[in-house]
Amino acid sequence: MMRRLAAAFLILALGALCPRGALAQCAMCGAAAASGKVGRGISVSIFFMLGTLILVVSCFVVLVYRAQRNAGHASGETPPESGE
Amino acid sequence: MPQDPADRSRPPSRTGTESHRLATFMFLMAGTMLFAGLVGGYLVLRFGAVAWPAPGLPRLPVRLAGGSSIVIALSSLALHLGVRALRALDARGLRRALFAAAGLGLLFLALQITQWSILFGSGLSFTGTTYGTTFYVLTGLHAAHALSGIAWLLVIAFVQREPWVSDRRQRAIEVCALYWHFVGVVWLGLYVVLYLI
Repeated sequence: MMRRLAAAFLILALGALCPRGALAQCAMCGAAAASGKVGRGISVSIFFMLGTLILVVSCFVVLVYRAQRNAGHASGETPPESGE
Repeated sequence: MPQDPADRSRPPSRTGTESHRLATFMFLMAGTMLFAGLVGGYLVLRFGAVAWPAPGLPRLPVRLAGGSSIVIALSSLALHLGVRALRALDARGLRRALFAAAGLGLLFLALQITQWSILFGSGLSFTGTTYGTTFYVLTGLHAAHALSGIAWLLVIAFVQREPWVSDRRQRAIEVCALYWHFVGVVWLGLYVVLYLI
């Protein structure tokens, strides 16, 4: 498990250290796309997909939180006191 | 209702929610992102187009699709009542609700086929235009989901003949209901994006 986490961290770190030239391509494409009507479509699409993702993940988090809280109430557990 | 002996030995999940429900939600999250990706592509094409629909192509039948939306919402409501009947230990009411939900689902599919035939007759083909391709892909994929949901509802309705519901089948009905509500919600989203915006 730790090895997998370390590998994932390494990949992320390498991604962060990627050459500036590669990032420049992103900026070029972004500038080209943002200039026309397609740019507006891409922006709307990104917002839509991001909104959907946030909505879906939020629903999932709420579901798990409520289920855990209900399970705690059902088993009669009391929350641990703070500071211990 | 009788308990399946295998159920008593099942340990509770770490999250506190039941495993079948959690797994269904994860599956539905994947389904939601599938539709979100397709709608995202549709939005790029739509907002990038000079005219939508292109001149000479038919407009989508908003009223007919609105009727479909009402039908699938009623189907979801029928299944919701079925789940309530299940919790009230009313197996007969559950079976009636399952058949009602499946019947309304079939009506929804019939309306979709009618809509496709009208549009196809008006010159909107699957190939050649992004307008037609995106429309048929989105509605077709949704109809495939609806068809699988209807088949699932019918299988449960035909198998459920006893005046009681086994614990295992209760879980199957809950999961099926979640899936069917998902199909309904996705259609309402598609209706807004494809027909109203």
